[in-house]
Amino acid sequence: MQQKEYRYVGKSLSNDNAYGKVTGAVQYCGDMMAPGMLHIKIKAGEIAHGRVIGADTSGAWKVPGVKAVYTCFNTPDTLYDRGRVASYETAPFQERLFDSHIRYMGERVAAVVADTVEHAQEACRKIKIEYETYPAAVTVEEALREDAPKIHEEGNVYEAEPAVYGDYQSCSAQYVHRSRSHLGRITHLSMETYAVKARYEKGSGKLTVWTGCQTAFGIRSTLGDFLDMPYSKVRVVKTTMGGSFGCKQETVIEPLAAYAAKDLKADVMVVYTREEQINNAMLKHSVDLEVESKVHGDGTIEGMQIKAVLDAGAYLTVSPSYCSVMGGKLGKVYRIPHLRYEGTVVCTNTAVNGSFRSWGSGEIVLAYENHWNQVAEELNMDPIDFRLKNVHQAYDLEPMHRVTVGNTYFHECLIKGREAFQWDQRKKKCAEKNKNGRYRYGVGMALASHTSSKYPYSSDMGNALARIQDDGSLIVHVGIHDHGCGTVMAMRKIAAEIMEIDLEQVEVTEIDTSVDLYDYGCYASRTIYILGQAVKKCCEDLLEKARQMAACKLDSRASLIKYENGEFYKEDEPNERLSLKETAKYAIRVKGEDLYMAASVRSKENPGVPSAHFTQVKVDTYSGMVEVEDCLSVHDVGKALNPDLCVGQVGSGIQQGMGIALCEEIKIDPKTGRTLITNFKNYEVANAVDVPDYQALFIEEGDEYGPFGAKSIGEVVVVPVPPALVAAVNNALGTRLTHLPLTPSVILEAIERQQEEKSHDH
Amino acid sequence: MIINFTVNGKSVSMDVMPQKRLLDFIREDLLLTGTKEGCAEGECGACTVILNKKAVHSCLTMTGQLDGGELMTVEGLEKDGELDVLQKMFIKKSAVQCGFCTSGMLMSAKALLMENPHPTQEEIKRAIAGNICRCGGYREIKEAVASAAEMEKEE
Amino acid sequence: MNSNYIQPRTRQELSQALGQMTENSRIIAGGTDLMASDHGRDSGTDLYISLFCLGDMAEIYREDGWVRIGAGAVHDAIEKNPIIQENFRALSMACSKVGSQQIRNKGTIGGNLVNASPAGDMLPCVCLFLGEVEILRADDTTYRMPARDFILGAGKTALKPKEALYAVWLPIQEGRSSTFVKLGSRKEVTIAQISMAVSWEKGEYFQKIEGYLGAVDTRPIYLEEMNHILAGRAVGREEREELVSSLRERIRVIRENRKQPPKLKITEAEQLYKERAVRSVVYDVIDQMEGES
Repeated sequence: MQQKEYRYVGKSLSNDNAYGKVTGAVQYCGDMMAPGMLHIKIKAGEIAHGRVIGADTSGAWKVPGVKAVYTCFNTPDTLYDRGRVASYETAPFQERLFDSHIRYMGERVAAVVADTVEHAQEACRKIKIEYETYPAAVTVEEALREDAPKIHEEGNVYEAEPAVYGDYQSCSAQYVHRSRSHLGRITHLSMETYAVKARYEKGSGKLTVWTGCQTAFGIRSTLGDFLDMPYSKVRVVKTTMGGSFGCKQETVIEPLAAYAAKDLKADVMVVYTREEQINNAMLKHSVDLEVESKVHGDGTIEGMQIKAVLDAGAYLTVSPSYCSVMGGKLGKVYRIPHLRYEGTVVCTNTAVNGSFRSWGSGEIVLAYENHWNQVAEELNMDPIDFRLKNVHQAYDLEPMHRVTVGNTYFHECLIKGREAFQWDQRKKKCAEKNKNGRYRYGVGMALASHTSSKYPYSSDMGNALARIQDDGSLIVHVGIHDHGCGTVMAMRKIAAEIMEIDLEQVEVTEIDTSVDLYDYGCYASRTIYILGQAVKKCCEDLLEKARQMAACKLDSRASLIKYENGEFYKEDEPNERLSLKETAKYAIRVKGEDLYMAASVRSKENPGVPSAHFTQVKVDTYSGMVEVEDCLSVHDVGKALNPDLCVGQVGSGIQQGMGIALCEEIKIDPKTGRTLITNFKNYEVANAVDVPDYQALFIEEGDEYGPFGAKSIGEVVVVPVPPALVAAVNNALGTRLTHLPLTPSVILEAIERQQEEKSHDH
Repeated sequence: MIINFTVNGKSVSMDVMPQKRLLDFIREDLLLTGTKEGCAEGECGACTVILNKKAVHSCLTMTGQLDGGELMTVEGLEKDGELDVLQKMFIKKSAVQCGFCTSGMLMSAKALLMENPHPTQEEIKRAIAGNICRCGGYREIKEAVASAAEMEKEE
Repeated sequence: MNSNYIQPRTRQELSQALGQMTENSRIIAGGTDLMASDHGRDSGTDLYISLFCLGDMAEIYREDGWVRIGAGAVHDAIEKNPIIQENFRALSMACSKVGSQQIRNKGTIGGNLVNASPAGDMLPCVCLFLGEVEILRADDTTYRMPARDFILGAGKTALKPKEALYAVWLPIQEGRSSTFVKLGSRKEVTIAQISMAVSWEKGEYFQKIEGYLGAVDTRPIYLEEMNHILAGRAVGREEREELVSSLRERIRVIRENRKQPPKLKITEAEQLYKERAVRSVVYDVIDQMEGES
C-alpha cells in the first residue's frame, strides 16, 4: 500500500507534554499537594488466614494530627469489586474496605488519616490488632484439596466455562504432542505507584477523585454505589500516569480514599509505597498450562487443547474473567479447526493476582508458542516454516471471537523478520559455535497477536466531543486514559491532521467523568483504534459544520467551499480566505451558533496485530546467566501514528518479556504465604546494561477502519518475547525448559541433569 | 538545625529537620516535586539528584548532609527559559514516555556529562544502570545522552 | 522525628559525639545501607551522628608503607584513585561493582565494613590485603586491629559502643597483583552471590597466591588451597577443575551446616546454585590472573 505523506500522522514528534516531563513541572497525582490535605496510611495484616477479633487503636489516637482510625469495626462492610469497570457488570464482589476475615499476609487491616505521612505511619504502627489464626492454603495444591481451608464461602475453586470450537476429541492427526508451561508472578513495576487524591466538598456534597487510572467511569460507578451517591455527584479525573501495565485498570484503593474524604469532609491523599504496590495491588497471575495438539505429518495443525490453572491469590476479583478471556484468545494466530480450552481459577491465601498487560494473551501465547516450538523440533521443521504453514490469512475468521482477524499480515511478519534478523544464518552460526565451550548460543522466535478493541465482549463504542474555540484553536474531549505511551499525542495528531491546523493549536484533555461522554476504559488496546476513530470522525464532522458556516459567511454553498490549512475559500475566489477563527467568531456573533460536534463510533471489528519476536542469546553454562545478544520485533500495526513512541513501546515489551522469561519473579513463601520479594532489591529488572540494542520493524498496510489505518501496539509488544527467549535458551542448550523464569539456578540445574544423563548413556 | 546550601544555583539558609530524607525535604519543603519516589531503597533511581556534583539517591540522604553543599534537581537544568541540551535531546529523541523515571534519568546523565563530557556507549549505560525505565528499552534514552554529548562537543 | 542529629566537622567533635551515644544511636556515613533498611521511617533512633562533613574521613593517602583509606571514602573515589589502582587493584575493581553509580557516589568503605553484610564487596578485599581498621574512641584516641578479626560475620563487627570506624589501612606489598570477580544475578547493579578476591606475586608462574571467597558464608573465607593448586605451574583445565571442586565442596559444607536455607532460596535449584556457579567465578578469576600477567 502506498504510504501517504501526512503532516503529523506517522511523524516522530516525541510525546505530549514532554516539556513538562523533562522539567519536572508536570504533576502526577502524588505531587498534587494542597494546604490542609490529609494523608492516609495503611496497616498491613500479619497472618495469612484468619480473623481480626480485636483492634486497640488507643495508641494511634495519641499521635498528633490523627483525624481518623479505620478498622473493620468502624467502617461499612459493603462488598465491592475492584475489577468491575462498568455499573452493569457482574463481578465476584468479595472485597470490603476492611474485612474481618483476613485472607493473605499483608492484607490491609486498618488505616489512619492524619495531617502528615509520618504521623499516619506512626499511628498505624501503634494500632494493635488481635487475630484468630486459621490454617492457610498457600499453594494451589493445598487449596484444591478436599479438606482445604475455605478462603471464601463459595469455595476456593472457580471453573470457567470451557471454550470450544469444532470438536477436539474427533481429531485423528498422526502426531500427538503434549507440553506444560509455567509462569510465575510478576509485578508490573510501573515507576509510579498508586496515588489517589479524593476531595469531598461539604457544601455541595460532591466527591472528586484524582488518580492515574484506566477506567474512570468504572471507578465512578464503584464509588457511587459504594458510598450510595448519585454518579452525577462523583467526579473522577485522570491525572498524568507514571505507567501501569495493567495495575491501574482496577479500582483498588479509591474506595478507601473516597470513604475517608466523605467521612471527614476533607481532601485526602493516599500514595502506595513500593511494598504496597507489590503486595496490596495485584500481581500478574502465576499460571500452569498444559497443551495437547494433534498435527498432520506435513505440519498442519488439526487441533489444540489447553488446560490452564490460575492462582488468583486471596480474592477472585478479575480472575474468572481473565481465565475465560484467555480461552477466547486461542484462535488469534493459527488456523486450527478444533480448539478446546478449560480454565480453572484457584484462590490461595496469598497476595492477589489480577490484570496484567495483554490480559491473558501473554500466558496463553507462552503456552502454545513453547508448544509449537517443540512440535516444530519434533517434526524437524524450522519454527518459522511451521508457522508459515498454519497462520491466518487476512480476513480469516477468528474462531473463538467470531470476528475476522482483519487486514493482518502474519506471513509478512514472519518472512520480513526472518530476513531482517538473518534467521537462517544466525541459526547455523549458533549451531557451529556450540561445540562444548563454556558459552552456548541459540536463536528462538515466537508469534503472537492481540486485540485492537473489546469487541465482541460488547459492541465497542468510542465518543468524542470537539469545539472550535473562538480563536480558531481546538479542544477535543475524548475519554482517554494515556499511560504515558503517546495516545494523547496520537489523538492530537489525528485532530490536527483532519483540521489542517498546527499541532500546537490542538488540546486533547484526558478523561474527566464530569465532562466526557462515556468510555469503557483503556484496556484491550482499544484506545487508538476506537477512540482514534471517534476523534477522526468528530473532527471530520466538525469541519463539515464549519464549512457550512463558512459557506454562509461567504454567501455560497458548502459544496463550492474549499478548505486548506485552516482556511476556507470559494472555489472561484481562492485569494479570499476565511480562517477558522473568523468562522467561529461569525458563528457566535452573527448566526448564534456554536461550532462544536459530538461523534460516536460503534465498532464490530477487532483486527489482530501480528507480532513476531526473534532473539539470539548467549548462555554462560558456568554461571547460568543468559545474555540477550540481539533481537528483533516485527509488528503489523496498520499504521504507526507515533513511530518513535512505537519503537519505545517495543523496547518496553522486550524489557518486560526478558523479565518474564529470565529474571523476574515475585516469590511467595510456600509455608507461610508471605510475599518474599517486596521491593526492587531482590527483583532484578533488566536495566540499561541488560537490554540489547534491539531492532523494530513495522508493517503498515493499513486497517480499513482504524484511524489512518492504525490498530494497536501497547500490549502485544510483550507477548511474543518470553516464548522467543525460551526457545532461544532451549536451542542453545538442547533442553526443553518451560518453567519460567529461566533463572541462572534453573539453567545450571538443567545443565547438570543433562550432563548426568549423558554420562549414564555412556 | 540551620543549614546553608545552594539549590539550583540559589543560595539558601534554612532551618531543617536534619534526619528528614532529602527526597521529602526537596518535595515538601523546597516544593520541587520533579524528584520522585519509586522505591525508597536506592534501587530504582527515580529520586536521583546531583549533590556536590555527584549523582546520588535523595531517598538515602539525610537533609542534614546538605549542609555546605550544592544541590541540583531536575528543575535546575533549565536556565533562563533555555532547556539544557540533555532535556532538548530527551525530547528530540523521544526518550520520554510516562516521564516518571525522567527526572532521575536526566540527573544521572547530567552528572555523567559534567564529569565525562565524551562518554562511550558503555559509560553511558553504566551511568544510567541504576535508573529503571519500564516504558521503553533504554534505547532512546541512550541515544539522547549520546546526542547531548555530541552537541556539547560541537559548542 | 524525635532523634537528635550531630554532624561533626573535626575528629574531636566526632569523639565528643560518640560519647553521647546510647544503644539506640546510630552512625551514618553515606547512608546507603542505613536508610535503605529504614525506608524513610522513624526507627526509634535517639541520635544520628553523620560523618558526611568530616573532610579527613574521606582522604586516601600513603604513609609509611601503608595506604590509608578514610572510612568515609566513597566507592567511586576509591575505584578511581591511582594509588589504589596501582597497589590494590582488586579493591578498585570491587568498588567499581558496588551497586549503581548513585550508590558508588555516596556509599563508603566504612559503611560497607561496619554493615558487614555477608555479600559486602569490601570485605574479602580488605581481608585479602591484610588490612587493618583504625577505630576512634569517645576519648579521641584510636587503635588498630586486623580487618579479619574486625569482621565477625552476618552483620556483626568488633566495633564496641561509642566507637566509630575511622580509617582502613592497607600495607603496600611490592611485586604483587590482584583481581576481583563478583557473580550476581545480573551484570550491573547486583548483590554478590559469590565474590572472590585474589592476589599473587608476579613472575613466570603465579606464586604466593592469596584468595578470599566472599558472599558464601557469614564472613569471607580464606582459601589456602589456591596456592597449593595454582602456584608455580602453568594453570590448565585440570588445575581449574581442581580449584572448582575444592570451592564447591566448601560451599556444600556450608550449605549443609545451615539450620535452614536462606529465605529466598526456595527450590533445590536455588539452594544448589552457588555450588554449581562457583565454576564461573574460578574460571573468570584465573582468566583475569592470566590477563594481568
